[in-house]
Amino acid sequence: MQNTARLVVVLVTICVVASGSLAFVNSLTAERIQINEEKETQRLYGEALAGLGRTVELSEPRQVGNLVCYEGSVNGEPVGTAFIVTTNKGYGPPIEIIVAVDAAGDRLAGVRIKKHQETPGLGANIVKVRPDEDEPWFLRQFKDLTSDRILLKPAGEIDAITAATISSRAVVDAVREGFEEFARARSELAGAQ
Amino acid sequence: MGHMHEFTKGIWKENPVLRLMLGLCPTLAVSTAVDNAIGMGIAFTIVLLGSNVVISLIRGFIPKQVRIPCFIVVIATFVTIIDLSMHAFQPKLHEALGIFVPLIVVNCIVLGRAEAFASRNSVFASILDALGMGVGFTLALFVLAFVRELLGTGMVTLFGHAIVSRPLLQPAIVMILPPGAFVTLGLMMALMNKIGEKRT
Repeated sequence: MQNTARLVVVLVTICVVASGSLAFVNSLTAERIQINEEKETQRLYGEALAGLGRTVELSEPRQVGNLVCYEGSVNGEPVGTAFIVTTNKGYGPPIEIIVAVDAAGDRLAGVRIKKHQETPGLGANIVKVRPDEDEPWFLRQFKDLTSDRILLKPAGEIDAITAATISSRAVVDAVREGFEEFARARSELAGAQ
Repeated sequence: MGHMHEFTKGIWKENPVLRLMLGLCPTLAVSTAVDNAIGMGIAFTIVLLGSNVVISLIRGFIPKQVRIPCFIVVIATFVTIIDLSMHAFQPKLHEALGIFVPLIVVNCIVLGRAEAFASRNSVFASILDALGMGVGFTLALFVLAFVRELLGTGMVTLFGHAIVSRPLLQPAIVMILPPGAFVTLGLMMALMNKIGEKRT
């Protein structure tokens, strides 16, 4: 009996110490993690809207239909609108995708992945950068497409990733659906005014 | 000699992947590319080092009957702490290694070393054991990933630099798919056994 009590005490002690240290580390890091993620998201919005290495000013968020949109501008010139779509058709938890539409509203300015947990080496290649290049080749294919061309080849313009058709299709479908929803919501908004 | 053995055994004689046959699931999953193999290897070594030290420190305190739950709690806590700290203070590193960290929790080499080594040996010996196992794991992953990436995509890239840039052969996609992993791993084990046979 005494022995059993000891087992319980030891296991409980270890669990309490473990949770205590986790809570401590979490309280130290939570704020910084949030700041880092926000910074990263801002950077990705900029990249999606205007490509690499340009400083993009983002407007306050604005609701367009179901989408939360940010208007981007470079040196006061509007460059387009960006919003986040998510899809659960990948191989892991939902993939969060930043979609940027150009200023005229009929072509994609760029696409970036904000968050994903696809399989390393396969689905994770949606963000793979090839040697001597500076942006993921899969995402670069979306640039300047109109919504009817955002399909995998041969129906559309996008080359799927070898051995990762599910992840490729999840991204392509989510981008196209997001774009269509944005266009619909925008024309409704314009009609209402 | 004595202490050196704790380090070197993990590399060849008791290589965790090729000899102890532990941690095969993450091994097969991440060995599609050399980048992933090295990332996983480094993240794994850090976790194993931490878990071995902690387990070795508290080994006198843990009763035999509840040692496994104790080890699991310690390892899971350690992995989460590393993940959070990396995310907060080394976001670039976290971006590169982040996807491997959750895979390490389910990597049974960590639990295996806690049970078979760290809970019975001094802290110093456990550190050497962790380093040796880490190097052995990383090497096995590296060789496996190199073969698979070379045959499966025709080229090998390391952190954005091409090592083998011109396809030597027609790429065989099956090599970066699961069957390629099993075939390559099987051949590596056969080769290790063959060499081991001659030695004894």
